[in-house]
Amino acid sequence: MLDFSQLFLQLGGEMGEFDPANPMMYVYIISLATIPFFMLYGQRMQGKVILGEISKSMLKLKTMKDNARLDTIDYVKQVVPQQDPTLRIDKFLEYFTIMPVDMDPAGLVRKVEHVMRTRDDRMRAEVRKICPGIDNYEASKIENMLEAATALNMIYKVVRHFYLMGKRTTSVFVLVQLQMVMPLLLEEADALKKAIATFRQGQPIGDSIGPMVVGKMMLGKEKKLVAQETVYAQSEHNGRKIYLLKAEGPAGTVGRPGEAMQRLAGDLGVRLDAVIMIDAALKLEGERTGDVAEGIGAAIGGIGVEKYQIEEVATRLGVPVYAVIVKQSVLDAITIMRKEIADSFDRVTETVHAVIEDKTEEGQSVLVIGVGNTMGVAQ
Amino acid sequence: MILFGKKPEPQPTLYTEQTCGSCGDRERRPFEQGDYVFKDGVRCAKCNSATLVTAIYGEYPPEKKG
Repeated sequence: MLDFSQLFLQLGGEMGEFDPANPMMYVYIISLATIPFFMLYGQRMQGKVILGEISKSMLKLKTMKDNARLDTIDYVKQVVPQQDPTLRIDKFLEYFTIMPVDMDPAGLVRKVEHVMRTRDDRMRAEVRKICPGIDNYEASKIENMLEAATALNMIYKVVRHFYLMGKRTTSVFVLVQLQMVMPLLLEEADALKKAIATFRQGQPIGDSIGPMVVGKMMLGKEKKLVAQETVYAQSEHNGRKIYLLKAEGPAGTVGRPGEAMQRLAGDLGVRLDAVIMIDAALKLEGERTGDVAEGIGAAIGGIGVEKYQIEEVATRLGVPVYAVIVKQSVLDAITIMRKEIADSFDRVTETVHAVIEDKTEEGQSVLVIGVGNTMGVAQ
Repeated sequence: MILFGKKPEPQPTLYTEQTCGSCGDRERRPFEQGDYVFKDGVRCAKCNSATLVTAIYGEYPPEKKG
């Protein structure tokens, strides 16, 4: 039998005379007893709480993923009512891309370019199989919707993987890491969910501001195809020759501005004295959506292939690259263009004209690239 | 009273803005399926000239402060 008399005596010494009739004594004892309990089971309890939180977020992700899939299937059925695309779309959502080996980095960009081009071609071919006979505009809508649905599917699967791994190994560290990134993942997933609705309607997104500015400059000019889904036109501004470049709209594509610039400067023998790139850029927390900023360097996102190609041509020819950006969040960049971004249109145009006048002289040539997805923006 | 309830997410109202090529008048109307930027718009209400869709955007309700 356990003898607590020594402990009571000690407690008595510390806290005055021990009196078994005093209920406060039992409070002290229970308080002391909880310390080893939490030392032993605290982490496990914390793990349970985190698991509960993650499973709630996972449920949200699952709903978003399922809705994205259903929306895409529903839209394809609307476009091509003759056949059921469910099986093909389900297969497409599991489609993956293996990046080339990077142990020997020499020539890696060309390999990545090759893989990405193959992936894009495969995607286009798959959409054509799902919806035979549709035009480029509709096909690009479905491509963009499929891409967003695939990204949502991937986010859900990765989160589920770490959730189940944390549960199986009862590792609170795996779960804590997942819990930390979960708000960001949910934000991204929410943006993708909303992007699907925007693509479905064929509306311009925040990222379309660059193509919109260049598209306006192209109005009334002869447009020529210079690379796949990419057009250019010639214009003039205060004695400077302006080459305007953007993806061919109003289909939802980013085109191939890197390849187009290589062709312009190479095969077509265009002399370039400056390059100006207009793009949407991620704003920092606290910055205002639609703010316009000016800088130096290739303003273009993506995996890096186009950026590399533009930088390579610019460096080889010694041409300065200027950037004009419109600040926005991830959500703004892939969902319907906010009024604040559309309102920046005139400021961007003025900034581009100011850069042309400041940085070049009469008789020189400038390439102005409208970077971004040109969904819902013609030229 | 909901103390910790989630605020309903504000939804944007979608507009198509068209500009008259002659008088420069800008007019906005609700977005319609098939609209895209730099598509020919309907005739100008002021001078009956051709218009061009110059923007399509979503306008969010102003955020309440406090």
